[in-house]
Amino acid sequence: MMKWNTLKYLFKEGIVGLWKNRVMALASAGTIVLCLLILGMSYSIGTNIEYILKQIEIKFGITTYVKEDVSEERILALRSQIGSLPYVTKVDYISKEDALKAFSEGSKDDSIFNDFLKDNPLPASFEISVSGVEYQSQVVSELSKMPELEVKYLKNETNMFIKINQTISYISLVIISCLIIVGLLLMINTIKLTVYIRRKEINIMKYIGATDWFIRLPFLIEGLVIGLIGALVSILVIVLSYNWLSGVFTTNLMGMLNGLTLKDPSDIISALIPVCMGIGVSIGLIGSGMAMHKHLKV
Amino acid sequence: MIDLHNVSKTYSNGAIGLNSTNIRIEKGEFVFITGNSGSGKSTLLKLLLKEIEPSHGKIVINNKDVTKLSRRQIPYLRRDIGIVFQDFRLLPNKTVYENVAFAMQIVGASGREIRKNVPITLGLVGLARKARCYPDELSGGEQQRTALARAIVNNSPILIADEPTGNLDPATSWEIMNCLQDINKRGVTVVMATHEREIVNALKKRVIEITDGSVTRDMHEGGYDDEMEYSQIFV
Repeated sequence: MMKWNTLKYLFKEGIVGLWKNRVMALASAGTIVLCLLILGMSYSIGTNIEYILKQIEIKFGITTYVKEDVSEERILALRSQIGSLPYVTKVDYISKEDALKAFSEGSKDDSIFNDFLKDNPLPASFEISVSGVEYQSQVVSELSKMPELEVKYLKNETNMFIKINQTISYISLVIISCLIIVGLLLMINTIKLTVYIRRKEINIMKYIGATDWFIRLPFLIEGLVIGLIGALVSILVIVLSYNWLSGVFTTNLMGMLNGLTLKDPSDIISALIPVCMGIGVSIGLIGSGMAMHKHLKV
Repeated sequence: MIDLHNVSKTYSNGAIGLNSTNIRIEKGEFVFITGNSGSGKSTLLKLLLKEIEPSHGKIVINNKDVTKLSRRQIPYLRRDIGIVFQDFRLLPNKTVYENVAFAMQIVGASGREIRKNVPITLGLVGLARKARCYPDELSGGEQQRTALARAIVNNSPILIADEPTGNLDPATSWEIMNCLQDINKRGVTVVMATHEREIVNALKKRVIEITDGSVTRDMHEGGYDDEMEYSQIFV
């Protein structure tokens, strides 16, 4: 077991080494920052697409038309019945008149519209929101049991969205894994270069009787600190830019987004901090450990 | 102290480094290892430091069978052997003081021991005033004296010097030789590989000459070129 004195000394050596090789250290930290930034970016984009899709999914909802000649009372009863179904988050009743009003807003000049005014062919309907697109078919099968209703639901469209959603998660997973590997390789390379520059030093250490751990530890500490710096800088950049960008989006594109919102910055950041820290630190440690391996055989 | 029994070293390319060599060096001796380049001097020193493994034979240093040591034990063997090289091999980004203190850090010495021993050792080699200098601010002789201080600061019982004067002018070489003799007087066994005829001739120490991997001469109070017939062979 290493003595406390020695550990303290080696920790100091690591920090001093870092400062003396600061250009290389900066290059390595920069590599990690870039890697984590790309990771943070693809994560933010990915989760936001997912988040928006979820909102769209919920917006999609299920429309059920109420058959003609169903009484007002029955409609009210149906409404509370639908509202109590599992996974249903919201039920809106759109009467024949509401439907016509909504329809008329888009087509005032149309002559058909005047005919509609005399005899309204539009059915009354319920707009039902479900807590997740995956529960739609379940809710639909419940609704089909009610004879007064005619269910319309966009099976193909919802399936398509589920697919898009899955594809996006898979693609981002692949991109992120590739990035981690690239980051690790870059880290190994940069620490290898640091070790190479200091190979004489390592050689001397071996000759005067330094153990492998004595030689390895300062480099590991260097790697650790580089990884930490990389993680912290990238987190800072992600926090600042995400805050700024989400602000820009919500103020400027509110209309275009049609009520859709971006994920809250704190959600993204709280998920990214441990991931960036973990990846940064492990890239630093594993990279320097692997880079050291060859030069310890003296 | 150092015992080679029938040691041979054949390199993977077939070159013979040492051939059935028997050498015994007692505690406190001062021994010159002489021989032409490629004669096997370096092979001998590398074997002593367990940098390479012998093909045959047994090497005992300080009652430890070196050939049986595992990789993990090598650092502890090297702590018993101070070493000085022709090219000094100081850490360029550390001061004289730090270079010497470094050898003590490696063995886990306390801060207090380091603060006490390093200045004393620097005083012994005459570098007390240069403690804060970096190696590139020193003359060759001063750099070699720093390396000597580093080699003896842990009180290793053995000092191996691989052509320590090879890069130095004659006057400076003598400074180093005086240092080495002082160290030897303190009880340290000194094994020095060298080409320097004048030094060997002047000091009249034990001389082991190696030619083509074999010991061709081993005499006490020898000179560089003494004839075999005058030699006493110690095996």
